[in-house]
Amino acid sequence: MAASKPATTAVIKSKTTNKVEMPQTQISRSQQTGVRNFLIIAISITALIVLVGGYFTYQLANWNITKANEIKAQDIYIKLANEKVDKLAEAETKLKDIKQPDSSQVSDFDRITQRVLPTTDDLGLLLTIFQKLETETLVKIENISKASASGAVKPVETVATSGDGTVKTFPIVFKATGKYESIQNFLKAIESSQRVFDFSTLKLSGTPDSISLDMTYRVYYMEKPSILDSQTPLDEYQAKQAATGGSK
Amino acid sequence: MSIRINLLPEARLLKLKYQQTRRLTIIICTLIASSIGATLVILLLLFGARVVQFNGNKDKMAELKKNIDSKSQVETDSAWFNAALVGANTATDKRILISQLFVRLNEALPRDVKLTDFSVDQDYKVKASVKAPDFSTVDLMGDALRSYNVTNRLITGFPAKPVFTDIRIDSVSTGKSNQASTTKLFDVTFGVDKELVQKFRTDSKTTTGGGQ
Repeated sequence: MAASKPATTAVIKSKTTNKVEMPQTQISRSQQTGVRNFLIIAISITALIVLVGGYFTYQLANWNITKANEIKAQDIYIKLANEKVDKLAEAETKLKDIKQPDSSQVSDFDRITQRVLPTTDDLGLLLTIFQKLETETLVKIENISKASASGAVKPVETVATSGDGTVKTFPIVFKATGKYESIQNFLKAIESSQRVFDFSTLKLSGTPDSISLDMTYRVYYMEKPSILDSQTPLDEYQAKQAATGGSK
Repeated sequence: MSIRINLLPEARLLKLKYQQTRRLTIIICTLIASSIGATLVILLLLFGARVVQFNGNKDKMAELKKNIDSKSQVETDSAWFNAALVGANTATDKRILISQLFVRLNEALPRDVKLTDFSVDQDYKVKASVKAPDFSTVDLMGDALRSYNVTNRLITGFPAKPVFTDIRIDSVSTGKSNQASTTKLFDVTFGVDKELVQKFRTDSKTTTGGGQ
């Protein structure tokens, strides 16, 4: 009775561990080694495939994202360019009308870009105006010059403005002498001139029959704007569009 | 004659287990490799399609660019004209007009008071130097400016109200030796009513002429 106990324990143990007892033969050993080698090779190859494949997947995904963004940017460019082409076609017709000379042989285009806001701070253009003012108002004008940087009047100054151009001003000083009525007419005429004159300072002397005015005015001009291509990063453009509720 | 090896049941079990392990490993590895392969193929196809689309867009863009470049003169001129128009408008709206102010001021001042120096800032705060024969005339001038367009010399088409405000006489001095000894020189500052300034602007826009 006592001898049969260990045998029962061994059976129970082998059942509970559910382990197949390995026959320690040469064949079984080589089988075991073969399986182990196979597993090592298979796992290594798979790991290699995962690594190499993962790298290429990552690269391809990145290239795809980049290309997708480039295409998005192209689409935006095409849309904007199409709009621009339409607008240019419309502008071409309007510009043709604006460039047509009127009865005074001056077109609106020339009037605005050459007379109202010329492209240079050339004093020569102003002399023609003063010549006419002198004739029309009978005021004697002398000593026309650009004001120096000294004093309260600043030299060339940039005036903030919308649009593509930057409007600048420069001061001019001159002396005008005439009767009170003539001076009154002169001041009125200079303000209704096509060229924009902005009053700065005035010094008066003399009698009502001969008043002398030492005047400083600011005169405006604008350099011809140059059209340059501009580039905006896609995310910045999209953010701007979103901020402006850009359904366009 | 064939040799038949009668394996022990444990050995057969092991052989089957090894076979199963190999099969399972092959299946798992193939699945992983093929899913990576499939992903690569899909991404490649997608990339190819995008490249085709990109190149197509490039041609379209080149065509549009050519079209736009051919109208660069129209573009420049339109931008120039628009910018000049906006600029001229801005400048006209903010410039200081004094012709009417000069007239109003000369109307308002007593006869023996002479304006000698005059400047106006963007808010139409006037700083003037004035010559008067005596101190009482200096005082009179302040009253004349205050009463202008209220009880004295009403502006046509404009409500009766003080148009020269915040009148301040900053300094008074007696004229120098080469001037009449009693002449008083004084600096005065005052503001101009905003509605009157607006009237100056409106009037200057409706004024015809000025063909220079």
